[in-house]
Amino acid sequence: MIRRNFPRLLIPWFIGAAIVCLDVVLVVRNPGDLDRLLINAILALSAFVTLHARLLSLANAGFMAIGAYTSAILAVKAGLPMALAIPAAVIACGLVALVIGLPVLRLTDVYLAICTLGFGEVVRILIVLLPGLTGGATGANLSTGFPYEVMHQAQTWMILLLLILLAYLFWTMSSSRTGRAFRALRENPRAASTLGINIVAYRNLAFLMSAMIAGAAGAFYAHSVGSLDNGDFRFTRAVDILSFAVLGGSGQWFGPLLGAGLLTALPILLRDVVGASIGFLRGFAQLPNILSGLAILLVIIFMPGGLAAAFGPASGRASGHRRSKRTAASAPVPGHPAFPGLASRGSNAGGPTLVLDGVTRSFGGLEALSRVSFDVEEGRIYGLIGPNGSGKTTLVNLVSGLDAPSAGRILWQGREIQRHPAHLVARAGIGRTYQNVQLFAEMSVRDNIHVGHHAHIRTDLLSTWLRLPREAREEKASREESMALLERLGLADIAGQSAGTLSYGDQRRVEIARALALRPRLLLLDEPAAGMNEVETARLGQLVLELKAAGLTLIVVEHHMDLIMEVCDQIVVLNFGRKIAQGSPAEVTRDPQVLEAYLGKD
Amino acid sequence: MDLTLLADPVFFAQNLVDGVSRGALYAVYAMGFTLIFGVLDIINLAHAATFMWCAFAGWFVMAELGLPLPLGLAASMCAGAALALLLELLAFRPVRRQGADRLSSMISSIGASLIMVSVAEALFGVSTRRFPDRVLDPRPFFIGGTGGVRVSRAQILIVAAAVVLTAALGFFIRRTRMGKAIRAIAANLNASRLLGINVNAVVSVTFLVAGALAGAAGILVGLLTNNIVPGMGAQIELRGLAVVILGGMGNIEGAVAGGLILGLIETFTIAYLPGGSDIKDAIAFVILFLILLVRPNGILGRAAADRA
Amino acid sequence: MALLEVRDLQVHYGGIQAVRGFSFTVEEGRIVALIGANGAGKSSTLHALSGMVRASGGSIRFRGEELIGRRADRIVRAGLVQVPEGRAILAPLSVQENLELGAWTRRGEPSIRADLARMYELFPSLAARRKLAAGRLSGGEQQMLAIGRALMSAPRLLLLDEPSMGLAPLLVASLFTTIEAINRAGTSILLVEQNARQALRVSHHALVLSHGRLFREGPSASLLADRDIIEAFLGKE
Repeated sequence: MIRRNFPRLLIPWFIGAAIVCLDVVLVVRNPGDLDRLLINAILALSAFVTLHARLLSLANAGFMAIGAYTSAILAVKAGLPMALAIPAAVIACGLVALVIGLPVLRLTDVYLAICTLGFGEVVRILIVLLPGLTGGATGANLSTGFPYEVMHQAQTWMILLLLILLAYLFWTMSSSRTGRAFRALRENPRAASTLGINIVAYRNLAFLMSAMIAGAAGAFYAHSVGSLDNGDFRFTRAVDILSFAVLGGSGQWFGPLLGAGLLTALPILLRDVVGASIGFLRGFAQLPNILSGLAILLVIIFMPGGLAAAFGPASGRASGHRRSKRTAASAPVPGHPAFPGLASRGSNAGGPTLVLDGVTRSFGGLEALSRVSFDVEEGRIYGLIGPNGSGKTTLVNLVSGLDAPSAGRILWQGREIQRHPAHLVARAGIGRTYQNVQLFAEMSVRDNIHVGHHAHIRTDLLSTWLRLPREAREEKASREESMALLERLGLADIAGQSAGTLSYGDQRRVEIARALALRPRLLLLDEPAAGMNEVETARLGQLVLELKAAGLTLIVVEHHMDLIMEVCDQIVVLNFGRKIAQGSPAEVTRDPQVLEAYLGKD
Repeated sequence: MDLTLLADPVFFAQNLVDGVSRGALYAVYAMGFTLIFGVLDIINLAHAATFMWCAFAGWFVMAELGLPLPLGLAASMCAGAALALLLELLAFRPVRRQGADRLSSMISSIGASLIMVSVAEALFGVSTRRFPDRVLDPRPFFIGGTGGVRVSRAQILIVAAAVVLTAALGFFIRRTRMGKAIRAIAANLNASRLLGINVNAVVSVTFLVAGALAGAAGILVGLLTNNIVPGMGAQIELRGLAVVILGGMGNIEGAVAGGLILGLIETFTIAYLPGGSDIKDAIAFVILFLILLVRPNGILGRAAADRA
Repeated sequence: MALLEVRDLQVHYGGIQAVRGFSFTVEEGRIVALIGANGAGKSSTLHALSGMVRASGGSIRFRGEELIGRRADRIVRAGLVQVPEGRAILAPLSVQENLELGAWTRRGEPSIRADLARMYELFPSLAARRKLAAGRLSGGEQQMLAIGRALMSAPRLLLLDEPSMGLAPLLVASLFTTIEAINRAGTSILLVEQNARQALRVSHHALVLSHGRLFREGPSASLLADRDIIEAFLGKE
């Protein structure tokens, strides 16, 4: 397999090398362009953070302006040395980002884009409105009070240093818990939240980082160029930055760097080389923009993953044809009763751990759930059945925190959780799977499980960047526990495979494994046997019974009556949003109301 | 604030006239923009570039070919329709075919817009062009004598055009067969397919109409400002966004109302607030922020739950 | 030649095989019921018939013509019309406009007007609300509207996807009465239903689908009593 793919594996490296060569040529021809290249690279990283988290933020130009002007003003008016002015500018950007982020990040995708676009314009207008500070519409000149030469020369190696530092930070982050959380958020925010990841907090973090990086770029830009004009930070700048990230691809941190490298060098070289021989000078001043526009258009249509997608372990969407036909690994390892991470319960057996009390959920005038009440006792398996539209998935969404009831309470281990957001419910010990599998398709099976450990790893970003030994220890423990879990479920063979390429049955098992990594006390399975054949369904039933033996409490929503009959201790039947029956499997299937609900009224 | 201004009725009436005509411009621009969003759920950031090219098309027909205003307007609207259709075929449909989301379509339109504006800059340079005086008599009317309210023919034309276009668009959407099909697709794309509607064809028609509206806006703005440059799209684009969000995305009446409101607020701010002309650009965005904070789907727009 | 001939139909949905080789026919003038547990593949079959999803294998011949690969709107023009699950009416448009749109593929104003009048006779509650926005109708009325809209296209074969879903029991009875009336007036019907008993009662022939395959088929009357049917839905005793 490797041998056949070898030429393909080389392509991305060729592209990378070609871009580096282009940049070298650029800098050799005009050393002044090195600063511009480095600053564009840093700006590209600021675009990466937000685009990677699926936030289309066009605010980078605005933050760049804030950083540039703040640093310039502090340096020129307050006489601060660069070493103080630049960090202060970065912090200023961070503060603005925190304030702006709170309301703006709540908006959905396109409204967020528009708002951030507007933010950039407001910044520009403010610049014009405060001529005393900023030089107003005519611009600010920084060279008064500083020897221009000294300031300029000191910059390039500093900018380079900043870029290297940022690259290091992003490189270490990508393989850390935070990086995984971002990737999970990017791929599937809902699933991520039910694994304990605080979506809102991470989005704010991405926005904050993006702002501070753009601010740093702006500050260095100011000290490098020596004079500022608010026209430097127009909407076109934001679009340029966006084009680096789109062309390079926002899947990997180095993607936008490639984009910046190419889009900075190519237009200038083309203009110099081609423009010289044709002489159509006026037209080629626009070349950078035309190329940026073309790059965006072509990439979005033909290569949505950008250049970096070629490097990735899983490129693009997994097509049905690439699904592995072999049902990868065999049955779970026999004679291994314990599930890694799930401590054997037994002490608390008997008491109700989940209580639904008069739970109602209405949408407009329609009641999807109507005063549903039942208790779930620890260590038992409950089946939740009912015809289409009876409210089963709504119920699961309410318990897992993705939705809140219109009335009624949900108690978990004595505490009311009906208003808790999904990530808190997950951290409290309730895990779930989804009706249509919600794996992180572009991540490997192993990484999917890793994400499940999010709530249990304590290390934060600082520990990652400082390479503290605790981080290495916890990552190692997580890896080992993940592998043990995969082995237990018979998935060890496919640990490295991209989750989107697995067969359907395997995907379901991976999703269950991922939910188990959360170390839940209650597991909600939403139609786990959908689309499975008899063999797979039987194996699933076996797994469910083993999970019960390990002390887990389960609620299984299903239509496969064979499975329900086989594994459930109690069955709750819903119809039209109401509970119409509850009891043992035998009782329920003889209940005339249940028969009528399923087969129709006589 | 100069308090004497507050008491001057002529000044007030003048600003009313100016505000309404400015607002009418925004309304015509926003109508085409919101039509696309209402039907396809995408933000077409290349609408402004289309608008700009239409203004140049009109200039070419009127200034270079020497043709009168009606032909200039017709040329501009045809150019707009053609450009918009091209955008749909090259920039939006391929993205939609892959099942990409709203964001990808928006980014695609950003790319297209960049190309369109840059090519215009390359071809036309930065010098300002204007429509020749003969297409429309520049002498204004004065209501109430020479010291009275000044109304230019351009302003009258703009308001008249806005009224006609709004009525025409409304009639088209509500009374014609194609208009019904457009509303059907906006309500539920898949159900429309099951009715035998050729969705792609109807989408193309939508773009033709939206483009023609952009063309009309281009001529009207050119008549009012006498400043046709490749960068003319940027200012109105951001205002168009504010108007559409104010009136609710996809809501045509809302776009008209929003346009008028914004036009009036801007004009009165410049007139009555000291330093008003500096902040007039910011007004649109401040309004935008405030609305989105309180009502993430616009004031008159339908809530997300209404969408089928 | 049967009105609809389906041979070895295969349908994939995002990786899962929802229909694994399903063959059946629908004769002209009949009502055929397609029943089965959830996830059995009933809706997937209808989606493939209407061209909403491209079948990955097999053949669908309608009045002698192959339908697989045809665009959805062309299939409607050929006379195969579906009333989708959940009705999918156009909420902001009025009742009348919804009905008129049903006739989108037809020409000839007079016959369309005549059919519109006939719809209002068939569904008097719709006639009373013809100017109202369709989204404001009750569930039962919306179902009637969806069926009426489909009938406006003068279909040869009407596909009904779970029409009784979400309807109160009283309305279900009148729904099936209406289905019978439509069939008597000449439209052939393929009825997908969760409410197996009613579906079997109103249809001539029935197909029971399980795990994407044909589990049982036969005259509806005989299946009504079949214990196997109960098993297909509720599992073995």
